[in-house]
Amino acid sequence: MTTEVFEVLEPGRSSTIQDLGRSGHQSQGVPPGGALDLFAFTAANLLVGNATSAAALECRQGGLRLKALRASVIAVTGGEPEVWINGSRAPSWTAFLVGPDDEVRVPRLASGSLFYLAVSGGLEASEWLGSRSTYLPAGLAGLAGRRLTAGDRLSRTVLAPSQVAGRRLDRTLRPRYASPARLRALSGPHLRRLDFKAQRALFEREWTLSQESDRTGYRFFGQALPHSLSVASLGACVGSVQLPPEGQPVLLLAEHPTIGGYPLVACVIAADLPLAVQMSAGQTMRLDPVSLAEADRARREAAGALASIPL
Amino acid sequence: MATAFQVSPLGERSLLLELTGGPARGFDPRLALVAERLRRRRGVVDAVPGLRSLTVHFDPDRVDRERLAAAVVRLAGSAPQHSSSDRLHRIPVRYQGPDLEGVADRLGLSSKMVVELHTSATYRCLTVGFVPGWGYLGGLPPELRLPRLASPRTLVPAGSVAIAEDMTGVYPLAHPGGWHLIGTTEVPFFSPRAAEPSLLRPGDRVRFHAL
Repeated sequence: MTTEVFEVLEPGRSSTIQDLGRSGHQSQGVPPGGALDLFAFTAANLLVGNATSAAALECRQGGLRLKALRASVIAVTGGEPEVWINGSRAPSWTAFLVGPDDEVRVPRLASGSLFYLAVSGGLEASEWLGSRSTYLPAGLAGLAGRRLTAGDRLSRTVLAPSQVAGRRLDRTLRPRYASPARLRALSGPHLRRLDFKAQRALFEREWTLSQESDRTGYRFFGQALPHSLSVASLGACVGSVQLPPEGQPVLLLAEHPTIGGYPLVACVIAADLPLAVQMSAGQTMRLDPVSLAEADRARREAAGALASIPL
Repeated sequence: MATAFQVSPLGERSLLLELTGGPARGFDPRLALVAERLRRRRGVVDAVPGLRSLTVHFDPDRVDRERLAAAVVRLAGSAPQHSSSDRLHRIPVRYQGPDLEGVADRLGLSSKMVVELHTSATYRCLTVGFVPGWGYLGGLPPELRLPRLASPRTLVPAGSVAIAEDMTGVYPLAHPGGWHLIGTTEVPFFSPRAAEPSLLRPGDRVRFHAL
């Protein structure tokens, strides 16, 4: 049974329903999908008392305006979204109660480029392969397989525990979103096929995020590292850094082509993917080489921070 | 087939098994077989065969990375080297693609000859990926080999039959693409509501015929 909770007044630049994604189907060519900033997404769900698998809104940049159709508890997380309820500021990374006819606005982000809005109960949406994550290329799942537009109505599924208003995740427990970004990364399987100078340069240079970036991947540019390596097309992974022959790196994300023909020279660690995806075009990053042990430690630390939100 | 296996980490949540040595191009049935076995293993999230590799995605908090790497090599080493798939798909094509004449010109052939060559071969699906339902079909006659387009199209219609390098393929949905479009088919290569959304599996054979 579903209940309408919001009417979309303005959808913002690009807003879609996402969840944890659909894993296990890459050998059919179906990418995992799901929220780009899994930390902020998961925190939003936990703050409002949802299971981590509940669906929420993922919005790129500000502009979202919603009208509440009934009372609900919501949380808005992300780079640093500026949240307004009617004429007053509301806190981000905090669960709070919204009343009927209240207008929820996120006009901009003080930093970062993505935010998540979770509703207690989880958003209702159509599923494909076990996930409500919107798959835009084939118009599947989410809200009719497309971005939100004005006039859309969002529904929640089951009613979740209501004693959650006021819960928040302290800033010290969130990823250290920053610009320029320092992205810890592991060496990729094909790094050693590059000449030695290029191997070092990959990790020493500053890379700028280009406008041509989306949920399939973020394209960076800088002082190029051209090469003539060829690799047999292979399955990539979220966070892996591809280096096409022109030598400008591409960070593969949730909807990456499941098979790619370019060398994989690095892989951003899971704990730092939120920092990467919150970058805006024109901002820069450096890849910082770390060990597997450090990657594991950082991932567990992030999981620990999320676990601090009471069930 | 004198191949060796090499496993390396791909990030902290994936492993890459690469085949070294052996024929550079050819279908290796072990990749898809091992992928299928691995997908049933506790802690393995997915296993994705490439043309000469297998990428295994796992949860490092549920399964030990080293143990998994060893298991992957063991499975690859003991997998049968012959394909058990004998599925053959016969695909009807309207050979009227926007690049057909251009391709014929570049190759010094008539369009009719391009069609005859394309329909003469039995192709093997080497693996599936890139977009849902896209099968990399190996075995394109050498007379038809061309590099990809210098500038990919921003949108190739679903059902487009295409060639590039030593392969052919059918675009399962509208998508950017850099292959040469020589025809169209109505056969759906991607059916989202089907139990198996991709028509093709690695190892399947495909033949095309002109309508």
